[in-house]
Amino acid sequence: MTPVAELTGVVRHFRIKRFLAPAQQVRAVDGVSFAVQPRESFGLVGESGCGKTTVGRLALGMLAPTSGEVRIDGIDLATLTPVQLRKLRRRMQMIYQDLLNALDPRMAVGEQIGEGLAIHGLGTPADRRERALAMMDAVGLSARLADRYPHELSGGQQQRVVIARALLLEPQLIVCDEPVSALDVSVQAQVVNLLAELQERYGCAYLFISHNLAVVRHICARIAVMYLGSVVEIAGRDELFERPRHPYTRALIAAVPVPDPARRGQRSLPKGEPPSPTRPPEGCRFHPRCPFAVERCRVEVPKLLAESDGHVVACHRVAEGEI
Amino acid sequence: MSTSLLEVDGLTVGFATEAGMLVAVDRVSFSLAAGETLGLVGESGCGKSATCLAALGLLPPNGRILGGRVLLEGRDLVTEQEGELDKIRGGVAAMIFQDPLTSLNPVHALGWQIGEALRLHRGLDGAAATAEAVRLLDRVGITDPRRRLGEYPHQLSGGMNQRAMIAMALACKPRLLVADEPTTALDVIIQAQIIDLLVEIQREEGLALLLVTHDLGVIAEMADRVAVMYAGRMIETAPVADLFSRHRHPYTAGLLASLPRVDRRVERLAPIDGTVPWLGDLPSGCTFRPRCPRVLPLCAEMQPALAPPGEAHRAACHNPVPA
Repeated sequence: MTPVAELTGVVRHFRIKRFLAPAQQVRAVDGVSFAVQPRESFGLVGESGCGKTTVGRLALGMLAPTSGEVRIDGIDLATLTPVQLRKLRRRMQMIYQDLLNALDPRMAVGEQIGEGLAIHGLGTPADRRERALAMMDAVGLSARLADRYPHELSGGQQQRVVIARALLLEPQLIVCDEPVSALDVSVQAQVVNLLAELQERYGCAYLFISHNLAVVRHICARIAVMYLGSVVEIAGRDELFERPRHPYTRALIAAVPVPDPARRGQRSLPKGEPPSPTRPPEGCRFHPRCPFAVERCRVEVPKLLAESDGHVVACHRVAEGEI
Repeated sequence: MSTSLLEVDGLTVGFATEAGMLVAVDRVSFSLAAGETLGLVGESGCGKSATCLAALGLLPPNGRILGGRVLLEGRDLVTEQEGELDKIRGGVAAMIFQDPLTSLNPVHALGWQIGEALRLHRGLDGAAATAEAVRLLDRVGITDPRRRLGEYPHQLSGGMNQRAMIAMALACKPRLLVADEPTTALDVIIQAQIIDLLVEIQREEGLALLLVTHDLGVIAEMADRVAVMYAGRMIETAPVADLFSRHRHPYTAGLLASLPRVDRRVERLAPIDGTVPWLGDLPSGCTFRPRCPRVLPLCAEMQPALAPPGEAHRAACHNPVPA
């Protein structure tokens, strides 16, 4: 099966220039490889600044990689002309966290949902309205809301509009960047369930980017963990959460406060904070904070290696069987 | 009753809006003793932050206390004059917020800001103030504190700024610390570090901690007792273990069933139907009634009171979840 999205050795550097300061190179994404299969929901987790949002934009061709290859549906994005890329974009959509920036404040929501069809020259206006209304029904929005404007809707309803708009183009891949992070828990649960139902119904794949590990465990079948621009571990959901191998993944999962007072305070945390991506450490990027680091970790970058069970880890100590 | 440091009794808070006076906090009562942590939990707009701001006399200009008493070490802050209020607040209570950059002054170095609090509240100056500022920064886990005194908030990470804000709060040797979403903006590992720090400081100093959060995981990690708020009212209060294992209010049950879990697989989330009502148009009787799966005809007629009175575990519900 051809993956819907495949990243191979993708690197993306940014140059930042501040007033009166020398330009710096930020290695936002530094050699990331993974593949999202059709109908799969693939999670990408990590802390702020780990590069997960940049990976999402690279996967959609919104950013060109500094080096490495991004394929959508088997097609190398670097070989496409802008017109061809725009055509391919119909098959890939994005859902953002920031709802008010994602929506046009001066366009009625029904029209916004159908706008994608108009942009791609599909259907007549009447046809587009009919399909928009059908999609509103599918995402649980009453047809009465079609002529309302975004500010008249609640946060949960706005997120449903964004989801409906993305789905109407029948994409094969939807990149969801923190789609439920701005929502209160009771509404968050409604949207999480909706995303799961819609995936079954429409058969699209998700690249689901989030810092919320509990939401990712719930939605995603396979998950990649990123730290400072690199993927450190990829595994199936239960495998990752029940038997995390990379020391960073272990720390990340252990740090999540669990709603169970009986489990209070049972964890050990890495010291300090992630270093700046302008000056990433040599060797394994996690080694200055890693309790298992040895000399080799300080000098040699660990490769992502698949273990016999398909669990993929980039750690010298795991590869040596030491932890 | 004399053992309570903070005693809030029938506190009612309104906000003047274009739609008239909206009651954001409706007859909320609780008490807090030294060395104890009370968690106030609920979704956006439930009145948890307004309760704290009102208790410390920090409401924005359009906010007003419409009724009730707030006794801090026996003195009623509602009837106290502004000048007196400053003295009581500064010497007894301190507050930390979600976003440290709103509390820290961007044009002053950390040393100056902590020094100001030491000068105003403890009359320390010069070398004594510097030594104390270094001790406080060290206490909150800031490495190389002497050098940091000369640094500005924009030079520090989010986690460092949050630590600096805690140091500033501790500078006046408070007996009550109010923390409004203190870890919400932080990445998960730093969040866990700050939770551990707050718990440790609270134990060492015997502080009374009023913790406001939307995150039931943070509540489970930190609180001794919990009060759940919905649409301005307290709907359940209990010792932390009871709240998670023997909750009685259907809203509390709904919140817990909405949560995806990092520590176990949940097949399907059970969200609460509908959305939080607008404060200008609250339903009669129990405000949770339109979303409640256990609703009775009585719920529309009579607002339930917290019961049984005098017990540590009380719920405001005519048809509570069976034990």
